[in-house]
Amino acid sequence: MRLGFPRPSLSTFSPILFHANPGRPNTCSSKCLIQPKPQTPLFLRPPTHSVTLSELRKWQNWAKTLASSVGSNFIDADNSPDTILLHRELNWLIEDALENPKPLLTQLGTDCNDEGMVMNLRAELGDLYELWKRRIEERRPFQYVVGCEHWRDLVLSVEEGVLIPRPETELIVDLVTDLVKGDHGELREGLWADLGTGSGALAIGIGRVLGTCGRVIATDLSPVAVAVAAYNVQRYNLQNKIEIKLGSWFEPLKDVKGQLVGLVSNPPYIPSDHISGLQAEVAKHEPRLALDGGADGMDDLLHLCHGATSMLKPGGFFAFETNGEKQCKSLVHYMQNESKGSFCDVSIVSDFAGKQRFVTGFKARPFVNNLHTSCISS
Amino acid sequence: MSSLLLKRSSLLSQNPSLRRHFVTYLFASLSQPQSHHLPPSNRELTVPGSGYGFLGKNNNGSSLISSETSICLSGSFSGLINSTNFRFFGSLAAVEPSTSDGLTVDGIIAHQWAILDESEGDWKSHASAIAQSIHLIKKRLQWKKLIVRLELLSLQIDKPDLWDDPVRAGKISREHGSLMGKMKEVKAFEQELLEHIDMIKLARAENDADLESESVKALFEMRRSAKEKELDALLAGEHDSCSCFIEVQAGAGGTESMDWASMIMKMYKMWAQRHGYGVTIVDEMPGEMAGIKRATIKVDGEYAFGYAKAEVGVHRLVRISPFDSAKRRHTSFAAVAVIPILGDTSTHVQINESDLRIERFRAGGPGGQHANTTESAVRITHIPTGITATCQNERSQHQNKASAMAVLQARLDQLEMARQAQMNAEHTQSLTEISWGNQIRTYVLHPYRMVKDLRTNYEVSDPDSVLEGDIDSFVLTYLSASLDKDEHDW
Ligand SMILES: C[S@@+](CC[C@H](N)C(=O)[O-])C[C@H]1O[C@@H](n2cnc3c(N)ncnc32)[C@H](O)[C@@H]1O
Repeated sequence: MRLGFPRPSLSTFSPILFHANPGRPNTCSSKCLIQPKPQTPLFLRPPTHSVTLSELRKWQNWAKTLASSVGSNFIDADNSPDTILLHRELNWLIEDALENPKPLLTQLGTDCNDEGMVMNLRAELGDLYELWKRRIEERRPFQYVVGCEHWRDLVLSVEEGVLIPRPETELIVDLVTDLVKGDHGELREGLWADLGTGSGALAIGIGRVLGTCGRVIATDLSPVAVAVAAYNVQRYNLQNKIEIKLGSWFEPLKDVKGQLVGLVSNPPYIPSDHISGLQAEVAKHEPRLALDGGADGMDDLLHLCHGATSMLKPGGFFAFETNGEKQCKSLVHYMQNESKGSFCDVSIVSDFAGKQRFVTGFKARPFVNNLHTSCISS
Repeated sequence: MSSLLLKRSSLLSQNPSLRRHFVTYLFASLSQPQSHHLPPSNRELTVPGSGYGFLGKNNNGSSLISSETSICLSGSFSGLINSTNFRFFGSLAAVEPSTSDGLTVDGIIAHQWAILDESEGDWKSHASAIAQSIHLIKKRLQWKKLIVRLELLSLQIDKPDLWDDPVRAGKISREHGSLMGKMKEVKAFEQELLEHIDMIKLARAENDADLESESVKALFEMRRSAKEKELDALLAGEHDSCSCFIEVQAGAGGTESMDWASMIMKMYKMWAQRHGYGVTIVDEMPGEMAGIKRATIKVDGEYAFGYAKAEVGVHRLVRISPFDSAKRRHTSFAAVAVIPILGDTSTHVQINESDLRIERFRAGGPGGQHANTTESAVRITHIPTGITATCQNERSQHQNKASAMAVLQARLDQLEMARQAQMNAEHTQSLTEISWGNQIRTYVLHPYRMVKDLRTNYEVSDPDSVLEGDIDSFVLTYLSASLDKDEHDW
């Protein structure tokens, strides 16, 4: 099913989710039928507003002062940005908002007669005051402020309602890239799935490393995420390679059962009662649907793990992101016991911070039975 | 070619014996008579030889010497000098170009004709000035060394087995092409001077006033461009045309020095921006109260390294400290290192993925979905050498990693160059190697105002403009002083 035609079966939530997260918004109200229109990130808007350099400098100084006033207040509270980081974000906001950011970002142009120079802006000056104020005072994530997130070598559009892709997740694309590079065609030219695609980050990252016949199906339960992902796929001109489907986990993939050569997912994995204690940028602004993984955060991971056995082709690859060591271990344990014999080469991969972050492996091939038993028991 | 590239052993790892072999081979041949390497039959090679045919096949057109065709005639040299089809052999360089009546550039200098003001239309004055410039340019290019080196490279290029090691061969042919270009340019300039003199003499003999004034005018123009060429010759080093990283580190003394380090860094940023170079902050470690502990910027553009290398060393500041409530005079130090970014990837040291440790830098907490930060700093450590590189200014972790990798690559390349002693050793020092005793410049803001270079004694009385990036005169004075000193060495 192509995006834009939600079908009735959407209301069939998978049982795990349904029970574990009674608090989740019912995404299938009549609203589902209205296609959300994704916002254009700031840097892609036309520079149709003009102000003088001196007016801009005034804003810049105000914004710096506001950022400095934060000092280290935030960081003590909940591990959030300090002044240095906020100053860096301010420079990025300038980069995105101005057609020619140079005079504000370099030390040149201190020349007084430049001050009257007209600068072209992609938003009204008043909006810039408002945007920065909300960044500091409401702790609105910087990426929502500028409407984009730089992720790997991509610039992805994001907005409220869509999870901002995390740096840790970039590594999944590296894992797939390495795998596909050494592959003789099956993985490179086959069908992949990215479940809970959010902004489409993983699907796009993977879509760009597959061969000409390689395809990705990306699903999400959130209509906003689906719309934003489709927008990002368009921006990278991958609409022939990546199909975005609205629906819960495997449900939109019924017709490709057993045909996937690869399956990746960064499902919600935060234990429900941790959510309110998260850093303000996350807890107050990012969608709960993208974060809440049930009582121990494992609901969706286990559901995906379970489904992977029937969705993947023998020899097919999977990679799941988790909350850390505990979830990695219990996922591996699940694979070695509950779904014994289904997977092989199961391993835990750490992120760059040294945290055990991902569980990867392959769907076992039936004819190497004795081999995979040995690798599973190891 | 790429698979062969991979074969190139990492100079820092596994294959020291191979590497030693390569290095000693190149350098040993410097000290040995050429006949040792060149069988007599090769000496008479006058058409593209087997080596060249092979080159064409393997090289996929990437060689810089492809414009050079191997035609070498013995005997009359001067007729070939302007032709692009001429290929240099050491023995021929010895043939001095001269006018029809035997006047050479050295001859002109020996005459010691008075050098008058440019506006005086005296041809001897122009000729004398141009000859002086040529002399200086040759000195800056280290002419004699250049000839020896070219001769050596020519011998290497003629070996039939040259392209058995395509990486080395590429390196050799590139260096040959570049040195060749420099030599040809000077030779052509010399020749032009002598031709104009011939013309003037002819015009006088035939009483052709038009021709004479035309030729004098041509000499006048040469005299101007000679000045530019003198400057160009200051930046003739192998890596001078590269982009570079500039690194600044605060010396002991806490906030005071960290503030000074950030002033120095600002000076370089402004200098680079004035020159139209691209400037990116790669790595910055801010001080607790003010300034920076350490920072790395990338300066993108032609000859960034050639100029910036003159800044390597310790910079000293004397002022009334803005951080001292007692308003005492303080002395602070900041060290500067400069690393070239080699444009030619085939000369890069090969880095094995497995030798790297990549870490998220300044990461705390559980990460992943727990946190939303725009901070994605990455630190890469090259385990065998312990060299590290950090980047935190990019907007994605992937890009931070790529930038840190570029810094690491440049550091390893620099280490390798230092080992091969291909560059003047002092320019290759990393921050950790620069000794705090190695002061190159003093900036005094109080009790008087002055900036003085301790290497050249060049000084100015306006520290503000220097700190706003106006350092060119310091750079040029240093570069010419360091190249123009050893009269006998060139
Ligand atoms: C942690 S986010 C990951 C987003 C994206 N893959 C990334 O890495 O940035 C989890 C995503 O799963 C989606 N999701 C939550 N429940 C889902 C369900 N039942 N079926 C499909 N997607 C779901 C959320 O909307 C959210 O986009």
